[in-house]
Amino acid sequence: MNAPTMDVEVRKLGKVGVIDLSGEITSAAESRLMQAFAAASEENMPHVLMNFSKLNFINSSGIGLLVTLLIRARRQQVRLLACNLSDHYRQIFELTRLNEAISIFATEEEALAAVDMTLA
Amino acid sequence: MVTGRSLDPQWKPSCDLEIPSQPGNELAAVRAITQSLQPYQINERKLEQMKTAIAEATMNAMEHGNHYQVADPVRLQLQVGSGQVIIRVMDHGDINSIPLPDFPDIDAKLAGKQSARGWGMFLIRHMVDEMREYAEGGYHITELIWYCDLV
Repeated sequence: MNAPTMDVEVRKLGKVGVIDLSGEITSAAESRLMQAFAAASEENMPHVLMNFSKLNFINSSGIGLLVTLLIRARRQQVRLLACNLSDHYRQIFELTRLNEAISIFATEEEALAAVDMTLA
Repeated sequence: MVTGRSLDPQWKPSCDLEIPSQPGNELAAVRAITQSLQPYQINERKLEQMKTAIAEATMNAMEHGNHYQVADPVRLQLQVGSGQVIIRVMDHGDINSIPLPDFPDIDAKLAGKQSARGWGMFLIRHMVDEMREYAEGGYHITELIWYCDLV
């Protein structure tokens, strides 16, 4: 058995809740991902940034989880952002058109700067 | 996707393995195949596409073909040569065992008109250069094909 593992850490940077994702995002990651989103968006945090710098793998179930997360975020009026996607996963975000619903940035700094401009 | 018999009568796999049909084991399949591909120095982009397609095809085989029966393993074969990488993912389902969902549409999913899931075949189709599906030797076979410069 090779159970996929995903680790998450949640940080708060001003008006942005940051979720650092590492490992593999598959169906096995559902409860951890949803808990991380709840923690990152608590206290009416308007922006949640997913940092994929330590991501190894996302499968189709993981893409489905991101869609579910996006539905939840829209319901809570939280803007979802993503950064540090590899070229491969950026391509998958484009193919699935997730990139039209989740703002994609090359780095965390760029994402945070974009949020600052929104708040200015 | 092409449905029909393999076009290669000289099939001689360089890697032939079986993995138990158990959730998560698709990563073992990915690791085994990519290890066998190491000597060929395939470019990173293509290799990442292969990893995604192998994982998705193996998950389909475990779930829809073998119904997650651990004792009914998924068989994977690799053949490299003549500018092609061919991977066969073999299960015991019938040729119609993998459901073809509606074309996944993010707008429909966000509106609740489609399930959030259902991206597997869509991803495979976009990751491969060619794909065939056929029955042979008691197996349902999904054949994934890439054309690439091989060292």
